[in-house]
Formats: sequence, C-alpha cells, structure tokens
Amino acid sequence: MDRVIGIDLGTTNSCVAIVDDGTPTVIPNRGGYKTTPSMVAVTEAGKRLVGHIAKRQAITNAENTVSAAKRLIGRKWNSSQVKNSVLTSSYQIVEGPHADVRIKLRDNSYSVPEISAMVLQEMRVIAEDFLSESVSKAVITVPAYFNDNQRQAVRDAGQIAGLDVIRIINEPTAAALAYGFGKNYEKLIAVYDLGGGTFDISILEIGAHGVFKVIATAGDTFLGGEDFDALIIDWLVQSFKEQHDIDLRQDRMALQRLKDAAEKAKCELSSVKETEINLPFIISSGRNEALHLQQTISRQTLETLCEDLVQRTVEICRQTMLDARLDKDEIEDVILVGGMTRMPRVQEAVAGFFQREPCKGVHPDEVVALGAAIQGAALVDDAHEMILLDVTPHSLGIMTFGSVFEELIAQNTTVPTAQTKIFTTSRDNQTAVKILVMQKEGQQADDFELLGEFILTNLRRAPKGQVEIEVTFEINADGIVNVSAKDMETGQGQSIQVTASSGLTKDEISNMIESAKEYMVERRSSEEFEAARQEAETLIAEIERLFPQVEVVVAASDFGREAVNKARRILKDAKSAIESRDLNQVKSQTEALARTHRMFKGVVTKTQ
Amino acid sequence: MAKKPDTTSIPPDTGEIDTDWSEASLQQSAEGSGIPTAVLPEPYERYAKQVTSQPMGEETRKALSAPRLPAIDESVLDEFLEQHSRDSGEMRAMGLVGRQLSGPYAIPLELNDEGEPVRASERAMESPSELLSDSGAVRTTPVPSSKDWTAESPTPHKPVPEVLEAFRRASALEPAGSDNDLVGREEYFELDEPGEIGMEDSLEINLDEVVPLPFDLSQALQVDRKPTPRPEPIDPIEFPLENDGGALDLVSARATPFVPQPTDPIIDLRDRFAVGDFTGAHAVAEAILAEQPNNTEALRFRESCRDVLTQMYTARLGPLSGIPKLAIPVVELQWLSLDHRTGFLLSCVDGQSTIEEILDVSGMPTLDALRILFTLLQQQVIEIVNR
Repeated sequence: MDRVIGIDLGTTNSCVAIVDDGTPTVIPNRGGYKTTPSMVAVTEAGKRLVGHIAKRQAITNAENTVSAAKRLIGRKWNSSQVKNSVLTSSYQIVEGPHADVRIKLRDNSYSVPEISAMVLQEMRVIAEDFLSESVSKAVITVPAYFNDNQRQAVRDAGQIAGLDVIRIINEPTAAALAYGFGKNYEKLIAVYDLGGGTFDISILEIGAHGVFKVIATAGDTFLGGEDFDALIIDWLVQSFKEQHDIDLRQDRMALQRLKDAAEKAKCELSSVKETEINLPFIISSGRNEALHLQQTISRQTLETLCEDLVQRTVEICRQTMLDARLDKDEIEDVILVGGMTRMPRVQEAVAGFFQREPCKGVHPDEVVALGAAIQGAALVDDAHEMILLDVTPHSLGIMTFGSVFEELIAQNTTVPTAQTKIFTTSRDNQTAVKILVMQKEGQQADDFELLGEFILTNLRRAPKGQVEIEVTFEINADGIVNVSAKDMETGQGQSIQVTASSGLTKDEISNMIESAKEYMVERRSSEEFEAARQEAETLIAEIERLFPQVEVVVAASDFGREAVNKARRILKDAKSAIESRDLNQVKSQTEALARTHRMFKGVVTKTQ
Repeated sequence: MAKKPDTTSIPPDTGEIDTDWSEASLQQSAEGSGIPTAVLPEPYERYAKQVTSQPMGEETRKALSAPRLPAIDESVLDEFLEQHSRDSGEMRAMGLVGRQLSGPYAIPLELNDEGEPVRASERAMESPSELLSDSGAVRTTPVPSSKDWTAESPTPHKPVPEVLEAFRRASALEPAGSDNDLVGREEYFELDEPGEIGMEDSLEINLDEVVPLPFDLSQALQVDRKPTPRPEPIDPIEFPLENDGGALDLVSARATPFVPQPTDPIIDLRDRFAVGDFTGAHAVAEAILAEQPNNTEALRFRESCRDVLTQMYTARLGPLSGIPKLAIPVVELQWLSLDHRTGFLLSCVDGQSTIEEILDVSGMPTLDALRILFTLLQQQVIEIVNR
C-alpha cells in the first residue's frame, strides 16, 4: 500500500506528516524543525533556495525571494488581491500569458503553481529522506475560502512537484480531523487559525460516524505573525534611532538581523516575561565604529504593541458568529491553530471572546498537517472512511443590469447544492442576454471574480420585463459549478460548466513537470556526490595520518616500498576524482581508499 | 635609499661663490642698467642655505623674479668656464652638485663693470689640464694635454670637452649612478675626515625635493645635446618667493610625505596581477570599473582575481560542507573589533549551517563572505568542523 503524506501548504510555513503504524506523526526537516518556511529564493549564482535557508536571506535578497505565494495562487492578474500584492511585495509580479500571475526571479519568470511546487517538492524530499522511500501520493490542505481556481492551482502545483494529489481538504477541516482523531466527538467547534501571514476562523460541526461539516468560515489574508514581528522591529528601530540617531531600516543586513531577532523574541515571550535582544555589530556609524543593539523587551510591551492586531482577529470572530447565526455558548470547544496562538495574549483574547479556555490538546503548528495525513490514510484504507462535508466559501451569482450582483448561492452553503432564480429582460425587444457567472471574493461590494460567461439567444421580442429567464446554479460533491439559463416560454436553454483553471495550459504544466524532474535528478546526484566526497575525504585524511607510521615500518622492504607507493597513487587518484566531481570515479576510489585504510590500520596495529 | 638633504652640509671649495652670492651684489646688478641679473653657479645646498638662512628682502625677490636670460651662445659658456676654471675647486663642486640638481639650473655668469657678461678674453686662461691637476686628485680618465687640447680645438678659449660634458650632465640631470660622473666626483674630493664634509649627504640629496632655480640652464646653454630620459618630477617645490619665513617653508616642504608618481591604473593592474597581488589587483580593477564600468580589461582582470581569490580562500577554509562554529563565548564577541558586515556574517554562524549555506544566505558577494570567514577563522573567532 502506498504511503500518503499530508501537507499543510501554509502561507508562511509548511508542514508534512504521515500516519505511521496508525499514529499520525509530523516529519522534521533536516534542521530538525517540524515546519519549513514556504519561501523560495534564487541566489545570484542561480541556485534555488527553499525553506529556512531562503528565509534567512529574505531581506538581503528581497527582490529574489518569494514569500506568501499562496496569496497569489490561482488568482487572475486583474484581481484585487494581486493588485494589492504587486504594490506590497518585494519581488516582481508580472502578468502571465493567460492573464495569470507570474513571478520574476533573476532572469526567469515562474508561475505561482511552479513556486508552490518548489515548496511541495521540498516537503516531499523531507518525507522521502525521513522514510527512506519514494513518496508520490499526498493530501494537501487549503484555506476554506479558496475558490475552485485556487484549489486547481494547488493541484497543479502538486503535479509539478511529482505528487499525485488525491484530495484537497480545507485547513479547519484538517484541524478538526486531528482534534477528533480516535475520539467519537459530536460537537460544534471553532478553529481559530492565526498563522504567519493569514488569519482564519471556521466553525465546524463534528457529527457521528466521522462526518465533518464546515458551517462558516472567514478571515483576513493580510493578518498574521509577520505583522507582530513588524511591530517589534518598529519598536527596536525607533529605540535605536533615539539612542544613536541611525535608522537601521536603511541597512538590509541590519534589517535581516532585526527580523530574525524580533521573531525569536516574540517566540521567547510566550514562555518568559522578558527577553534580551542582543545584536552586536549591527551597523557601522559614520565614524567607522560598529554599534551594537542591546534591548530588553517585556511581554507587556509586546502585548501593548500588538493589541490592535489581536482585536482585529476578535472582531472577525464576532462577525463570523453573527453570519453563522450562532451563539458563543453553542461552541463547545475552540481549537487553536498556527504558531501565533502560542502567544498568551492571543489565548487570553480567544478565551475571553468564546468564554471558554481553548483546547490545549493539539499542536498549533502541526495539527493541520496531521489532519491531512489522517485523511490520506483514510482514503487508502477503507477501514477509516470519513465523510467530509464542505461549504461554499464564497457567494455565487450573476451580474445583472447596472452591475448589480444577484446572489444565487450564499456563502457557507453546504455542498452539493442547487439554487434557481427567475430574471426578466431589461430592455424592450431584447433578443439575447449575457449571463456573467460571478463569485463574490470579499466584503467589498465590487470585489468579484468572473468565473465564466455565456449568451442566451433567440428570446421572444417583447417589452422589457415580459420575457422570463430561469437561471440555475448547481454545485456537485466534487465542487464543480454548473450554471444554466432557460427561456421559460420556449424552454430553450444554454449552460456552462465552470471549470477550475490555475491559469496554466497542459503543455505548460508538462514542461514544468519535466523541469522539476530534472532539478530533482540534479539535486539528488549532487547530494550523492557530496556524501561520496565526504566519505572519501575522511578516508584520505585517515590514511595521510597513518602514512608516516606505516612508512617507517614497511619502507625497509621492496614490497613495503611498493605498497607505500601504491597507496600514494591511490590518494592522488582519489583527490583527482574529487576534483573532477565524477561520482563513479569517487565511488571506485573510495573502495580503494577503504582497502588501503584497512591495510594501514593493520600494519599500525601489529607494530604497536 | 636617499637620505633627506641636509642643508648644513656644504660641499668644499665654495668659499668664493659664497662671497659672490650676496644680496648686495644682486642688488647692485639688478640696479644696473636694466641688464638681466645673473647669479653665479653654486651647489644647491649653498643656494638653499642662503635662501633659508635669511629673510628674503624685497630686492632679492625682485632679482629672483627678474625675467629669464635670453639664450646665450656657446662662446658665452666657454667664457664662463674659462673664468671659473681658474678656481679649481669650483668646477669640481659643480661636477658634484650639478649631478644632484633637478629642474632648470641658474646660468652661472659673472658681470663686468658695464654690466656685460665677463668674456673669456678678459681673463687669463689656463689649460683645462692645469685646472684639473690643481686638485691633486688622480684622474682615471685621460685628460688631454694643453697641446692636444689646443690641437683639437682651433680656438684657445674652447673648454675641455670633459668639463663641458660634466656641465651638460649637471644640467641634464642624469640618473644617479652614472659611472663617469661618480668616478669623477670621488676623484675630485679629498676628504680628510670621511663624513665630516658631508659628501655622503650631498650624494643623497633627494632629487625630488630640490628647489628649482629661477633660471633655466638648459635654455641658456642652447647646446645640441640629448638629455637622458628621466621621469617627470612631480610637484616640484615652489621657490618661496612670497614668504619671508622661507626656511620654515622649506622644512615643511621636505616633511611632505612622498607622493607616489601616478601611473596608469591599467598598467598597475597588470603589474599587480602579474606579481600575484590579486587582492590589490582586484581593488584596482574595482576602482577602474567605478569610473569606467565598461572597461573590458578591468572586468576581465576583476573576474580572474575573484576566481583566484575565491579558490585561495576556499582552499584555506576547507570544504564548503564544513560547519563554522563560534570558538569564543558570545559575550566576548563585543570585545572584538569587527565591522557590521562581519557582525552580520557572524550572526549566520549558528553551528548548523555549512559554509556553503552561509554564503547563500549572506547575500554578500561570495568573495567578500569568504574573506570575512577566513579572517574570523584566522582570528580564532570561529572554528570549522566537518559534518
């Protein structure tokens, strides 16, 4: 049976988990961290960096480091989110050939699914290294508000990364799965997810026999841990400026260090009352003298700085509860997801709003990936069947005369669903109508995304308002939206199936898959060579250490001299092989080195 | 190595010149019939001593700022030589000191009562051989006898070619170490107490610091000669005409640090690269590129330097898979004298990241990062362990 990994593809951090012997487990990366920053960078030398290493150079190489690509995935170039990102991102966002979004890094343009694929590929490598076996199937989580295009883009990203994405599930659903794993809960829960870059609140109903239903979901895609870090950085910069009259923001190296230190301090303040930020030689003064930053920050200071942000999350919770027509008392448990929920002030605010202590039984960083792994295991194992019932995260409808949005399917409607509405013509003798299928993206009145359009023709000539047209929206269990329009008099109709698209063509995806494969082959062979080189170099060092002793012992005889000369030749050949970076040569020379080493050790042992 | 000139060391046999060099004589000459003033030839040090030992009066200033002499023909020079060859020590001193002068030289002329230059015919002539034999020094080069000399030159006033040549050399400023001149100099002097007279000092006057005299001998001589090529002097010290405290000025001028002669940076770049000064060559290349960003040769050299230096530092640091670790406690870091770039790179040293990873995350040019890491390793701030 194939193993299925669960991947939490986060805006700022990603996490991979697997169910091993029935136990969901998070897989640590090479550095031992259980989460990996969702960042991709390209260095000056053209080298690709993913994860922690990309994060560590994010400010010094800001133009070529992509973070929060998730905010752009599956979106059209003219969407408001993209426009916002173009203004705020440090990297260059350009328009793609199909009105999609591309990101420019150094001399190349990458599609957003391609960037996300790099992160997914990294997660796959982490899992493969940990399991020492190839992994091809995955369940990937997405925010509950993701539309079909966005979900399709994530599927494409998985495909480019060489993964067979067997299911895309909502993040709060995954969190609820992990929360309810092994327990027969039947309750209404709230999932408060404050991550690195986004905030989401979801209300779920966990039913009997493993039925999970999302009742409501909302959030803010520009509110997360990074905003908290930014406030600490501001505070530090201001303090330093008061002390030395130098603006640390002018120096990228200083800013990178500040960012790292701010994040570290924020994390530490979750467990201690105050912490010291110590950054020696942070900047050089005009007098050629290096200055140090030394500052103590207390938890209270942090809480004062960040109170507005915390209140923003509380306000969104309040609105969501109103939209879901639920009372706070009805919520039986609150699950905290995301690293920021470790902050005591956040926990306090959540407890204050829901009037109950949040659940401490799940790990905020890992719970979503664990839920995805549980879902993955359930999908390949009939014994663990579960039913996940989702809701439509956005309102769906059509655009009518005067650019008025007419809603047919309300937000948070459980799928599958179907809704019908009657419309009339708006002009005399109108013989055709254009049906614009729209999706309402945000709270703004004009924040819509066009999903598709079609024209219904051959209408009867009549004064306006007399011809009636029936429009039906259907969403099936797979989330496919079907829109049809019918002339009620003649019964003549037209329909459209809204097919999710990431903005990439099949050919483009195929090419990207090939490129990703080539990259992986290159990376793997490079890693193999590195391992062989290290082994060879260790043996060379050991042989060279033993050489003088062996030479003294065996040089007296012709045979001994010959052996020593041969060993010298082997050393020389091994060094040449390493220099030429020929993996096969290095491997064969390593064998010869190993034999020589055994012989040398034997000689030395006998003479002692 | 050339020592600083010593104004107190005076070449021998210059007493007569000293008496002639006075403000009174200059004044007298200057106030004559408007004839351009001339001063007697004398060694630089004597000249300098005069200039620096007393405040310069208005008359002196006028005299020195008088227009240069018109070109004079060879016969005038001959006369001058004849006149002064009577005093044996004088020409010898010229032979020595002239070697050390740089720049235009004052025309050595004496004026008669009418203000005209003294002609040879007005003086008793001695043969050059007599003149030279006065010194008592043994010449190694053959000196023609009076008869021979006369025979070579139909004019009895014609100076001996050697003397003329010595004079030419004095004015042409041949590079130090000219054999003939050196031999000649040594022969002409008889030092009772080596070092007492200051011959060594005289020989070691820094040519670059010699005060240019107000007359151009080379113009005055108008002889057909090919001066030995020599480097152009840089920033010759101006004669302190406007300053009464001339002595102070001279001293301060001597204390001015030696300014290297500006050379073509590309030549400098090539030279440095050729001798293996890759760091220096890289710096020169960067400087050139700062002014001429498209200079292909500088670009090429810079890339080559970077490659070589990168290889050098990499070789010294060991494999890029090595992991740098702090070798001193963090609290001690602040006591080090580091710049902020080094501080930043040190902040990347976490005991887990390899050199390669640190190079990637630093965002610095690889060469700079390697150099800093190498310096830190040398200072034992970090150590590198293998994975």
